[in-house]
Amino acid sequence: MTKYLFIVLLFVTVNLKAQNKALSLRNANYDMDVRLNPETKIITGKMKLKWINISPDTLSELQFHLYLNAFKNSESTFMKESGGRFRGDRAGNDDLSWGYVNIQSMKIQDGENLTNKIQFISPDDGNKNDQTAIRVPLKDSIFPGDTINILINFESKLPKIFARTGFAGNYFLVGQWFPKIAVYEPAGMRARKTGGWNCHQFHAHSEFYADFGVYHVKITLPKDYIVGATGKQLSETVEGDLKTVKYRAKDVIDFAWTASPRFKVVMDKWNDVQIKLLIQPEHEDLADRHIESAKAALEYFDKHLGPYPFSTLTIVDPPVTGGGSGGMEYPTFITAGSFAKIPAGMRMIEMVTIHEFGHQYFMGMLATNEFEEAWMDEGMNSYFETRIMDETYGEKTSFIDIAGFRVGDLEMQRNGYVYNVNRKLAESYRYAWHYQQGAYSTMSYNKPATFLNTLHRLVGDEINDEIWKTYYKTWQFAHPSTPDFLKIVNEVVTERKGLDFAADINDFLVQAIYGSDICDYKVARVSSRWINDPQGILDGLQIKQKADSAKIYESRVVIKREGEMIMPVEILIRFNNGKEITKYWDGKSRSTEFKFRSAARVVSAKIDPDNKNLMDVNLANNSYVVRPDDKPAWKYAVKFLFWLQNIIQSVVWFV
Amino acid sequence: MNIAKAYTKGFIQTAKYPRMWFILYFANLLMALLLALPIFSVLKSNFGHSDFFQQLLAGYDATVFNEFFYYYGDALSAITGGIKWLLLAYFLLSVFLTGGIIRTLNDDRFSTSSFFGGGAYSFFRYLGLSILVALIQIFFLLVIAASVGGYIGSHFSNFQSELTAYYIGIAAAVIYLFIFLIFSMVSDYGKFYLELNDSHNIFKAFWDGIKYVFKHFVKTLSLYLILLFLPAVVMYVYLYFEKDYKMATSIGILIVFLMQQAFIFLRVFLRTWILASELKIYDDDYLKLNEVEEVVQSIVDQKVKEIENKKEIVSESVISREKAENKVLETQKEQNIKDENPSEYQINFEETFAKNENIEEKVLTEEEIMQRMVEEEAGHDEVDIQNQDKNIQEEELGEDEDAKG
Repeated sequence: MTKYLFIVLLFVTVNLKAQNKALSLRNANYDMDVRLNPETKIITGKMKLKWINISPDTLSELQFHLYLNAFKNSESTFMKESGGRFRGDRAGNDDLSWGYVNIQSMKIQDGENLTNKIQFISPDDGNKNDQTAIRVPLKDSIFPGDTINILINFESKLPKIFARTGFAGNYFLVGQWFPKIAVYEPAGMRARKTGGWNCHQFHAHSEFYADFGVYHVKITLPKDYIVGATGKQLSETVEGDLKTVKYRAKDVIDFAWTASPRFKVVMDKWNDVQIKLLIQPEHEDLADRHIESAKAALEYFDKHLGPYPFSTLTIVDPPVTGGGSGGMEYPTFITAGSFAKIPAGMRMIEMVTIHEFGHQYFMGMLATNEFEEAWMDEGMNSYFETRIMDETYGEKTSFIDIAGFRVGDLEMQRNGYVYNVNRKLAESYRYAWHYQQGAYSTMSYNKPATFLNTLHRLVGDEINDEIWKTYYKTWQFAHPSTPDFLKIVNEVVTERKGLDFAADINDFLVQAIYGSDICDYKVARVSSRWINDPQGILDGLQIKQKADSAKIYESRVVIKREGEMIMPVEILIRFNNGKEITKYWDGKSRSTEFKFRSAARVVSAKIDPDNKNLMDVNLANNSYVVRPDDKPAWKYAVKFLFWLQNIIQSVVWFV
Repeated sequence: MNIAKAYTKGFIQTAKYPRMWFILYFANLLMALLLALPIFSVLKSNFGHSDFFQQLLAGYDATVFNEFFYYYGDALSAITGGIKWLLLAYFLLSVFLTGGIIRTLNDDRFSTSSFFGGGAYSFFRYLGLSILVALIQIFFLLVIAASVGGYIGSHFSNFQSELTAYYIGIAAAVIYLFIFLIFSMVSDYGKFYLELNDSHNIFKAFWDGIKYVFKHFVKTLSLYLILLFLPAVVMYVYLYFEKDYKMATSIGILIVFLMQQAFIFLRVFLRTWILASELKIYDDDYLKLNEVEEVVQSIVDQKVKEIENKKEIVSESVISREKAENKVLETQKEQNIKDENPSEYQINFEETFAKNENIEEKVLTEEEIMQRMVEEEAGHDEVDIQNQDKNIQEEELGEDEDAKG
């Protein structure tokens, strides 16, 4: 019965989508009317939530996120986990610095008053002082396909910015600011065994998860404030000292906005997408860098993943005092980050803009659960960031290119994983707040970017693009999970490269995503020795070395597996006569040996000659040259000597 | 002496002592080699048989560097950790060598013995002065860094933009650099004071350095700044060429090595040139000062001598007056006796000392008396000589008259 209802519901909603040209199921829709008081930093508002039960389950309660309560006191889970520090910023401790969201009233339209039924819950850690999640029991159940309209009056006090949201002087970045309904996941969705609300508390290391909907938001604030927000601006009216702006956003999972009287507005366009940059006056000379990198990202995603379906993109450049709100993504609305006079070769602006734009796909449309599978939004997005950055600004120069000091974006991501002391600390597949010792960024950004680039190189450009396009097409405006992605990879690779290759790829991804083992293959030894013709007494015959016999060498190449991760290995072997042989090894045993008998000696052996496997944590031991060249050592010793001479000569200034 | 002259003279003098430059250059090279050679060994052994590091020949490679530091960073750190000790050792060595440089420049002749002798002789006084100046420089650094850092930290959230912090930071850096330069100059001129006066009083030298720098502020600062500017230009030129030079071949590595050493050599030369030029203007002023001092001293000595002479004359005149008075008293006594017993030798004092209407009499002050006595003293000899001459003439004349007679 339940199954039947679910199918009917899906049929209805799919039809609904077709009729309204809806891109998503739009089951969480908000109409809001809010007013900002810049002096008190308080937003007062009322909202109507129209929520549709698209699950096959009958529900007897609702659950909401009250994210802003993370900043209510020092005892919230967020504050305790972060210690009041986030990305280098520190929480303020004066009265104005705290933030909260109070539900003043909650009721079902034309129905039950729910205000007194609100209960704080802490499903993740049992912290009784945490008020970032609530449940609201209902008198009347909500049946599959039912719509419920809930009227909420709320007051949001914005915190001083240190983690994404709040105020810095007269700059406001308003995110995670209203009571937001959680996602109900029925059995089978995201591999769940039983249905239930997915409503996690707000953690220091986690982002968000929400259903799609349509937002209508009316914002009233002093008229000198310039506003930017998710979606499309419908109108702006001025009345006395106040102005009211109206926004509408369709098929989005969140709504954020910003306001400041200091913003300079730069408008541009890419195809039919209107790009609006709200930039600080002192950064105005950096406007082009924001716009051009956003265009590069729009172009790249359009070509390699799927079209950007929205008509607007707003980029916010926070002031340095509100830097904690930088580098954040909301639907059609991103925050970048810059510093005055930042050199052109330091491409932080470009990297952040491209990364945050990428979240329009990996979060905004492929709306994964960021609490539970952070690698799917941050990791996949970081992978695309490396591709766009390296293609646009050069493979080894895309992130930094100043005075001979060069770092590529992929290099930066890979180095963040393979040369991290915590590289074996955790798996990529893990609840975000369960990472320890800073492993969150390594495992959810760096490692996935590395293994997805490896996947790319292993399967090639064409198949790789097909994987991603299929994934996007299948899961856009839905909530995919890790098995869903793996399923698509397997299907595409199997179809294009056969079952065996697909099995290898699957093994690789499963190890990379669910495991913490490292990959390290090594050329342990290369040797050659001269083999004489048989001589002495053989079968009663005296055999002597022939004077004209050709020299034969026996060469050996020993390959070892130093890490626990298993991958097929390709080895290129070179001989002193210029000949090259490529050998393959399944990489499963601890070591293997290749023997050659020929007139030529082996002069070198190299694992993974095309540098496909970026997961190998030690690239130096991937090759062995019998007669190594000392020039690199000389070069850097000479450089070191020179700089040391300069440093010590500088001491003379103190004499 | 103007700056251009100081420059030229400093350059010419520095250029005269190539052996001194080589000592300074090799001191730098050998000290740096103490760590560079172990670094070469570490690089060579850890690069091993891998061709991965060949990528470094093409230029900087972040992945190669990261991997090297991840796996072999400890070995490298163990060596680079020695840099602080090397800096300390080079600081002490530089103090020693500076003694030799200044001795050579001051004597305007170079010999190995006087160079090292000068270094040894001046080591502790220069070390004391350098430490004193370095402590002051560090003190100012801490004060400025703490106050500016504290101000920016506590007011940052009120700044409209980071530009405010930039400007404050830049202003603080410029101020500190200025202070640093001033004290570096003070240190140099303080050493000249120690050398030229053969003094060991570092505080007096420091104070003299301050006085000298501020008295000739424009001159000393200009000289210092121009010579600071030159290495910066040379460094820029070096980096300009070096960045495009891959050092991918043995010849390429050798060429860059030679360029680098030429640059270091130039830095060493410039340091000596700065000292020589500074010493030129200081020496010039010092000599002038000495000449003035000598003149003033001679005048003072003369005056003192005159006063002493006068004192002697006064005392002699007092004595002679007392003697005269005593004589008068004795004569009076005798006269009294004679008055009681009048004789043909009786003198009528009243008559004798009665005012002569024909002569203008003046009561002399003590100074006038002394002056007159000095003049009389001086004139006495002349009178004696004249009298002698007169007597001789009279005698001769008498003889002639006798002969006539």
